Amino acid sequence: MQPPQPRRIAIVSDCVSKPLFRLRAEDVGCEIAVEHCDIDQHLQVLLSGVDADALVLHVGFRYFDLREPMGSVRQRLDELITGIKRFLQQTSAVLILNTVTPPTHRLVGRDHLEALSMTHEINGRFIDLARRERRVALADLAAVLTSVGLDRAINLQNDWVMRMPFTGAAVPAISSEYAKVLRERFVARKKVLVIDADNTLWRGVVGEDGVEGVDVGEDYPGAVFHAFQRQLLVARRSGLVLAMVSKNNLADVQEVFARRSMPLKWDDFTTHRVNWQRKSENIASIAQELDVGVESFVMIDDNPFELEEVSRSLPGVTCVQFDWQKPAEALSLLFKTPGLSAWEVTAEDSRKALQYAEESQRREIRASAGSLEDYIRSLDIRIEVGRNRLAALARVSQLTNKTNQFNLTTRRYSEAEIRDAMADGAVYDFRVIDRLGDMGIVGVVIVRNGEIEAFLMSCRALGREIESNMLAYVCARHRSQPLRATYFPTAKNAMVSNFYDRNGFELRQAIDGKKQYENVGMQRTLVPVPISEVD
Amino acid sequence: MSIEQVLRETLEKILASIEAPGLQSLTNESNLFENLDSLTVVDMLLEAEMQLEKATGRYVTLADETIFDASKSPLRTWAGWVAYVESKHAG
Repeated sequence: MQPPQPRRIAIVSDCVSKPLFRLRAEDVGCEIAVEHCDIDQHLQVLLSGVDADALVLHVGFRYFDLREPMGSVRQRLDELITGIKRFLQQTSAVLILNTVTPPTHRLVGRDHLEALSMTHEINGRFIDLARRERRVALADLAAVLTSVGLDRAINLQNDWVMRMPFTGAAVPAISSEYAKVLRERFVARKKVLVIDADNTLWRGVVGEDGVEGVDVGEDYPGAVFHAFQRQLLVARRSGLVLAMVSKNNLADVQEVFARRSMPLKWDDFTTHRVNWQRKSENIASIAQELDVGVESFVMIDDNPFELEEVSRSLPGVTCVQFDWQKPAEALSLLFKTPGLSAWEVTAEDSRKALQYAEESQRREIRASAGSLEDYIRSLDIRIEVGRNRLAALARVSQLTNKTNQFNLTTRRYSEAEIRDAMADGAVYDFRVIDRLGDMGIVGVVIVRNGEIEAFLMSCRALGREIESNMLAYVCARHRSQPLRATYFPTAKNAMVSNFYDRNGFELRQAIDGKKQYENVGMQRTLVPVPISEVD
Repeated sequence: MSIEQVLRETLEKILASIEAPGLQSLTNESNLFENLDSLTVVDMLLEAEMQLEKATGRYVTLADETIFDASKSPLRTWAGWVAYVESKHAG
């Protein structure tokens, strides 16, 4: 098996950077190897480039000294932006910038206005870059330092003596922010939020307090639950699936949703298990229903006993306690739980909850259909395929990073690497649509130098011959020479170990589970699915 | 918890992630200055400041102009380092 390759992170900073990047794999969600460039060498590093997946360009009040004339600060900013643009042209690495804090002291009010304005200009230009360039991310250190408290976060004496302006109180918070940005870029997001009902969605126990007795109003403490429900709604819109798991009578819980005015509606939950079974059993059953691994689940519950039970039975589930008596903590859960945030939300993400509901309908149709052919015909499936489409870049990269089971090589690609593959070869994206809905882009095939170096598909699209039609299409497009292909075994992709064998490829070599194939002509009879090409 | 205990725990935490054979058995004469690189010293000082604040309720800056001075650094002996921090906190 291939050991996972660590993500290589380079950092150039205007302070000692080592304490800021003492990150463990569990902080980021993947192995990382950090290279610390020489201090203050921002422009040199930008112009010479780095051999890394990401460059962190850390700037603070040493780089932008707001006591200097604003003209020279602006000139420094212009030089930096020019260097950044050249870096983005010359390399494929992700670039991580940071916001800077405004000065807090003043002697002359008008001078202070100039310094404030300059701070906004620096941040504004960084924000603008991050908006326009997909490869630029922004660590909001200004917000982090404000949250810690500037007086508590910064120690000028330490900066003068050690080139380390941040105190021990600020360093972990800064590290966490960088870990979050790296995770958003390089690690697949969690998919399912499992939510308890009593004392999590509302205050009180509906079975004891009654439908009118539970509190979820505008006043404290009901306001905590009301606010949390609003956050969950936003999380749902960002692509996270909501599932309810509650030890309760189903009718009681449904009645709360029917009679009480709340941000969340019953239909906002893609699935639910309201019964008296162990919660771990219910979560395992939901994982099976949605066809999502439990490591993509986050459970939020007020009861430590329930969290412990699930932790022990399903160690992959991230378990988080909702303590309404600590409102500040409770209402920051969704933002602080690793793996819930995303750098951006694709169209597919936004439709996620709806797609799982459509999938349930498909399963019902499959169960009543006579044959696979009947089933596929009854769904009116069609495939749209794009080749080297920049518009699909984010989704293609996302799929390569999150697909584990139906993934022949499990090679992960950053957006920059996908861009390179488009320049050197062909990156196909496959979108699947049927009469129940649009599944979005669910499949990716990358062909370079006569070889299929990536073949993957979301498991949601399985069982409809999509994958075989994808392969047949790609082979037809590359008829000039027999395509080569490889299967790399991982802990999760055994389901595709014989995919190429089943689809007319011939095994050429097999070493330690790694199998190399060549296309000798498709021999298998397919249930054809109409494919159209899109720009 | 005494200041020496806090400093000892801090050093143990720092040593968990680096190789420093000369500090495996700590004595009053152990030389931190020679056995820790400057970046590790920065780390240790930040951590010590934070842990001492937790233990005593006071934030005290530990670094001064002598820290990286080969002839004056309090880090040249463990006993000297403990005495230096105690005097900073007493001041």
